[in-house]
Amino acid sequence: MLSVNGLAVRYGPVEALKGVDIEVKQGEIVAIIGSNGAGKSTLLQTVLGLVKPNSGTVLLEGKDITATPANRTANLGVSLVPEGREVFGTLTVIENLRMGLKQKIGSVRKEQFARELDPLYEQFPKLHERRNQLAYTLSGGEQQMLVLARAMISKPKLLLLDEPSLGLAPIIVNEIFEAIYGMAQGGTSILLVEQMAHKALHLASRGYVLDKGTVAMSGPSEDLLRDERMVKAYLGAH
Amino acid sequence: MSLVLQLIISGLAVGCLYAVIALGYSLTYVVNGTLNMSQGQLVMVGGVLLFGFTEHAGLPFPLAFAASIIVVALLNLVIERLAIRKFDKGANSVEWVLSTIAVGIIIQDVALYFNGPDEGVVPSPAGNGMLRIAEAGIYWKEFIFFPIVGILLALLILFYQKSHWGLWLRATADNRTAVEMMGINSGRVVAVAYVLSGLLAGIGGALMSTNYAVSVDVGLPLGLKAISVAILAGVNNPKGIVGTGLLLGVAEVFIGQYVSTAFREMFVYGIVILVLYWKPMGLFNVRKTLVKV
Amino acid sequence: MNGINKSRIFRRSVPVGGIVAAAALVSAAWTTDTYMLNLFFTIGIYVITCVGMNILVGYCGIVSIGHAGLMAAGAYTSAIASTQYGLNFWLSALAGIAVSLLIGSIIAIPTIKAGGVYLSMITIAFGVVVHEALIRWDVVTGGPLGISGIPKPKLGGYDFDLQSMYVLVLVIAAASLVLAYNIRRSAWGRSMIATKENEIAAASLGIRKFKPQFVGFAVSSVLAGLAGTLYAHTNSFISPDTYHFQASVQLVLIVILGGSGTLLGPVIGAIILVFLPELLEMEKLRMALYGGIMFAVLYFLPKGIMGTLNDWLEARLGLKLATQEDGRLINATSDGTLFEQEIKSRIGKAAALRLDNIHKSFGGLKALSDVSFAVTAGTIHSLVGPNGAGKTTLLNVISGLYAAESGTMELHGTSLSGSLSSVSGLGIARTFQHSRLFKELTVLENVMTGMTVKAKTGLGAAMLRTPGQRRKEKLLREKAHLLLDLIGFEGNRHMSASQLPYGHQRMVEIARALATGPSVLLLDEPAAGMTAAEIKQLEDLLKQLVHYGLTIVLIEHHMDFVQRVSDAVTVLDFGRVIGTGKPEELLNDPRVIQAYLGKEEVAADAER
Repeated sequence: MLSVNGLAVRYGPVEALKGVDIEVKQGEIVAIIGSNGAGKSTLLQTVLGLVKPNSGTVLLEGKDITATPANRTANLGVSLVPEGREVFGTLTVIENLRMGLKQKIGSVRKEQFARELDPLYEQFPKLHERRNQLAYTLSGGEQQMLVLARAMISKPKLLLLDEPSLGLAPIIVNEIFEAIYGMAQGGTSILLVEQMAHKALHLASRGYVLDKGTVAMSGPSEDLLRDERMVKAYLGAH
Repeated sequence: MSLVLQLIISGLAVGCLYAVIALGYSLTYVVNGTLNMSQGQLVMVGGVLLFGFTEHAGLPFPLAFAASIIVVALLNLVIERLAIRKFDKGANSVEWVLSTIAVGIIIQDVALYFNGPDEGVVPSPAGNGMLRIAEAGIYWKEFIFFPIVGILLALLILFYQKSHWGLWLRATADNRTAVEMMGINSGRVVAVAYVLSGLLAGIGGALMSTNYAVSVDVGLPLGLKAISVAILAGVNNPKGIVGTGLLLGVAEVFIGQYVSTAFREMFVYGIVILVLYWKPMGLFNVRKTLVKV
Repeated sequence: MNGINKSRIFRRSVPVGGIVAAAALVSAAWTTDTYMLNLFFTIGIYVITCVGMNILVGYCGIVSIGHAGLMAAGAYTSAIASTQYGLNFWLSALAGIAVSLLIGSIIAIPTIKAGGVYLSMITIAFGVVVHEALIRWDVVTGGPLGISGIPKPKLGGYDFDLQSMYVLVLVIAAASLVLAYNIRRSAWGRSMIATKENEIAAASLGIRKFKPQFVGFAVSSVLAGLAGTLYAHTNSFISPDTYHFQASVQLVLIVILGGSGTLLGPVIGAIILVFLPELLEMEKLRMALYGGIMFAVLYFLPKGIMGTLNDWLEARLGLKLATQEDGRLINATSDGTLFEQEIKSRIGKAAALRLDNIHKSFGGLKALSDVSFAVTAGTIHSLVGPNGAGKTTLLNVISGLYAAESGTMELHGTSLSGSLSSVSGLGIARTFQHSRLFKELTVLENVMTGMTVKAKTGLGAAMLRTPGQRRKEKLLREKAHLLLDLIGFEGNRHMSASQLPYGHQRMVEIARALATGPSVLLLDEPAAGMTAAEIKQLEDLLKQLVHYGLTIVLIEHHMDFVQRVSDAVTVLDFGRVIGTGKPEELLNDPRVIQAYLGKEEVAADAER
């Protein structure tokens, strides 16, 4: 589904990514673990096309999308759920969800849109309750549900998730992770960037550990979870 | 009493023009925080073109009207591409202010070069008849300003609320990066806002030329007055802008009549500055909702 | 030849070149014809006005598009005072300047407060209104015909003519350049640039935007008024035509064409704009030409001629027009005397900082709920927690950038509240997560900016650069050097801060914060982006600062670093405190590990 090869990105003198290779298969959840400044967010932004890489390629279903701008990549079936949520605070919940239709917005009839909302509302009843409220009035957890639902409504092939647990209470994080798991069951490929290493690896089938812009470790989740260096990297050395 | 009524009516008519032009500023300002400081000159171009198309080229009025506003809208698209896009770097940048002022100066001087300093009024299709209201009167050609502004406001609100471009405009105003993530080219959204803003400027100019003499130097003061209206109202509130435009039109006529003709402008801008001392974000600014519809 | 030598030669050649140029310019009064002399005179008038405009545009970042109105205020007041009330030139000029200053001040207040497009609109409106008033208020201004027969100045028995007026204007233009240079080299100039570049960082040093920007506006009003009176009394005739909107735009154009914020920019800009139309002999489309030039400058030469030239010189030859002299007073090493003694007496005695039940939310988002803890004086207290836990929000609440919705804070036992700048005055200094150094200022100047409030520089002293002012600047400079020594900064201190490597920027930001003389220092992820060696250096610095009596609150992600330096740790998670205590105890607490790793069972149906 997604294949990232030798991706390198610099911001001025700072090398954010130094040749990263990552592979995501159809319907798979892959976790990217790493400390602050490891380059996790940069990776996702580069895949979508918000950031231009200095070298390397990004292939989506074998098609080169390295130089494709974000607004075009997004319409190829890639959705990014950004760090810090980025809801449209001054739009209502429903309007936020309509934005999730992307370029299809013009062709989706009102009734059809309502039908597509039903399963989302079922999963996140809070959003139904607050559907006519402006998004900035939602709590952090509700905003995270909203951006997730906004990404789901376009039925993406590939979902890029950036720190969905950010600043959320554990019980809400569980709810969010359940939803992510559900999407993967439905066939969506998921690339999950997460600082909560254990949680993320429990959810994912495979994981990559990013450190200072390079892949320090990678492998099946069970192996990574058992790896002593992993634990150390998170409370020890960093 | 009849004088007061008469003043109110004339003031409202002028206010309609201010409102139309100010709505144009609002459209672009909420989307990316920029506006075209040469909007006034665009209005002038709309008026001068309508005059030229009808009087010199002999086009029928509806055709000339449509042509004028389309030319102005396209001109604004070019301005967006040349003078805004490169300089649109967030709230604190002033380059776009200077670049669009430069555009305004160029437009005015070029218009002077081709058109000369003459002024002209286009015969309105509404004719020269009078509508009597109580003891006051209003020309039909002036009276039609009111329904036109009403329709434009309604269309604008419908556009914001019902169309997906309206939604995209509001979303871009809110969070441009997130708009890109939603698969929408935000640069195109900004360009659309500029075209619509240009249409409003063209309509304002064409309307103006059917009732007032238009010469090449009316642009700057008119544009400035309309910015004042937008700022006074709070740029993100279309209804507030129309209300404030009408209010300012009436206030201006009254100041001219009862205070001083010579210092009318001074009083008007004095009031604007005083209001800004008191309410820096404008009278009807809706803080959280970027576009109040 | 190395850069230093070159720059020395360069600096020495400046006065020589200046004297030659001055002699040539003065002699022009008697060697050129009247037509040329008039052009030279006009350039002089533009230079005086635009030096003021440059202070406003280049230093303060306020682009006023109405300064022709202030020139008009000076010119008309002075002309009326001398033609109708018979005042001599010197008194009427004074009146002209006073009126221009008064009007400028009235315009400045809403302009500075509003900022952005409001600012442009207010200044344009002002210019348009003045132009309109000059035409309409004919009883006083003579209407469209203007005022004629304005007398030339007399001094003793001497009557000024065009030649001597030209020399007078030349002297005043030179003086205004010196004045601008002096302002740039003083705390006033630094505050202007600081507030322009980064209002929040300036406020964190106690510098409020309004004061320096208002002063910038006032100085530019005085110079515009002065130029107006000189023009009126030389030309002996003035009319509204000289002061229309386009004239104001022309003034802005001179500044940005020459290079805003550069010393000689206004001179270059004025020369070009006065001579260019003469060379092209354009009658029509002259304004379009100006518009075109403005557009071209914005597009191709955004830093203007002098700005581009300066960059080129700096890059190619290592030359930089110094804003601070080299040389140091004493070769002292830094010690605790940098910090006030009273701080030291507080060590370990009581809580330097106490927070009780702090709440803060953004819309529906609860960023902080019920946060309470105390920081012992003279210790390093770390705030840790996963991303989004509310650490930076908390720092922003303490430093006054955000107001808490409820809860109380105490600093050394007295209630703590207020804005960022007032909190800075109470002795709390902070750095930011992303470097907020003032990029246009040098490293040394950045640190000196931190001392602005305590140094209390008088405006007059700064403009005249009095001996007292020189001594004060020397002391500030020396203290800044000592602080840079303290943080171990070994690079070029006269380099623009923008050219520093990232790790150095973070350290200089700490020095700048220390320059405010704080008792409590708040650091937001100081080690982020630093190399291992730099982190070690930071660690030593923090320990030394605590030794001097400072209290440090630190947000940090490097856990081993936290463990090494901290006396106490508070762990935040989703906006709540989950514990405060000694680092070794707390960081092994299962709750903390869970917060970081999410090490607990994922809900059953998500489990594979």
